[in-house]
Amino acid sequence: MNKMPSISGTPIKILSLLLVGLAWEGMSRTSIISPLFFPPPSVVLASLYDLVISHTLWPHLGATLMRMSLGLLIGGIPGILVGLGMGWSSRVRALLDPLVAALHPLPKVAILPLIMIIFGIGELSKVMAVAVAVFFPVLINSMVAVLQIEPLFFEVADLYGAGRGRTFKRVVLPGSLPMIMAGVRIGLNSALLITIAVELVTARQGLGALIWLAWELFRTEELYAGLLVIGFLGLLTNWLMIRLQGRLIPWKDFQSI
Amino acid sequence: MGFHCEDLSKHYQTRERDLHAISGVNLSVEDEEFVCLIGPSGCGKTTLLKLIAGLLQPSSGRICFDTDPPAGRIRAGMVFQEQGLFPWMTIVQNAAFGLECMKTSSQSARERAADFLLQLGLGDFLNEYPHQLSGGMRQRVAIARVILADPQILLMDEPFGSLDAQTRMVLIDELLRIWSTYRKTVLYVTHDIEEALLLADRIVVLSGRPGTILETIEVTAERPRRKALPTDTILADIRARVWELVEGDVRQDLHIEESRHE
Repeated sequence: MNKMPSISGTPIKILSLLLVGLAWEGMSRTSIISPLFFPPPSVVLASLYDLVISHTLWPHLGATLMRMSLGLLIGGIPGILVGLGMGWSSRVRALLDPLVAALHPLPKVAILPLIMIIFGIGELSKVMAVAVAVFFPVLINSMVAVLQIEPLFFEVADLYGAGRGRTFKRVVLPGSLPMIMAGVRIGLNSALLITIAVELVTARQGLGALIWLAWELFRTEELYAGLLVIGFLGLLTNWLMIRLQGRLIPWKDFQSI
Repeated sequence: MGFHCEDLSKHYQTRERDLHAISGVNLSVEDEEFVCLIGPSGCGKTTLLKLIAGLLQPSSGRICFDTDPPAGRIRAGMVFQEQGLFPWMTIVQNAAFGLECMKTSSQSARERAADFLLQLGLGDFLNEYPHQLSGGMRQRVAIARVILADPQILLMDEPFGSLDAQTRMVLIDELLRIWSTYRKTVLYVTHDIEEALLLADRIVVLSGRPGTILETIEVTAERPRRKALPTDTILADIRARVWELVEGDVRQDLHIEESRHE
């Protein structure tokens, strides 16, 4: 609707980035800040270019993407289903609420050792750690999503004699979809966070492993290059989610988010 | 189809206290009669409609219906004050919802809904979402949905209450037109005396909480009444009488003491 801010806003946003980058470049080149800790952006970009050209980046990126998406699926789908169940049925909610309330506040990084005991130190434990981190925000959002549907809409469905099946399909599901998607978006961000955290600690491949290795070898420019890729990945997944929300939820305006 | 409420009461149990929404309501509505319910806010008008719609169960008393609805049809349809349309359905999907619930295939339900919306002049908006329409248009779609479902009783809960006065006037006329075509038993809740005078065969005045029937007034004037409304002495008398009945409750609500200038 309101196109003005995005048109005039974009150059300004780029401008601020550019200014900081230029200042950084200048200060690093003149050793006002230590080029060892803060290598000039041009060097970082060159290092990123090398990582791409030498095909070093792709296996790392691939491993991270694989863990993220598997974790998202394995944690997200049950999260949505259990959340919808808890939202729709007060009995299911009463049954599971104490469990969720007890487990949800645990920082998911803290249970990584436990997950490694249960699922071993292989790929499975990494994916499960991501899945657990995705599961809870998605579950809670999906539950609240159903609870916040106007009671009026259930009354309308009742009035016309829509059975439970139709009420679920035509009222519960679409009515909760916007908040479910918001939950998935939170889940996606947790997935990225936990994937990187897990890779820092245990992995040989993945973007987290890449920056850890760069730290061990004191290749700061490669460390920054890795951070750049992770940041970009976060931006990209969020952008994709907004597109997906717009596609799945045509009755709401997501342009502004 | 006519129906009779016999000594109908409903109270809600809240943590602090019992809330008596309505108490001892006796009301008979005849087949194809248009009855307006008037009363101060919070007098249980909505509760009464929901009881008749079967969305709530009475605490005591009962509702007798003259006939049962034919198989696959609903007894009572309801138009709500606002937000009754599903925001996630397009206009045509919303209008077809009632039909679809009655085992009509969604294909033919949507065709019939589209036809009807076309008749109402809403043909350009079939695939829009409710938020893209004005409040008045949304209520027309809500009315289309309920008429398409063809219930025996039409319950309307201040359907035009949130609209501006001009829009309301036009929609009242349209509702009368639709009603004279489809001839339903209508129970229409309003707090607008003019609206009741334009629409009703009978005006039922409710008291403040708990809602009980204060008085029932027949309105026999020929419809349409809009032209006669400002001058007709009988309508003026009815208006005065209804106001007399509600004024006390309104004042009490606002904590204004009884006419001090007297």
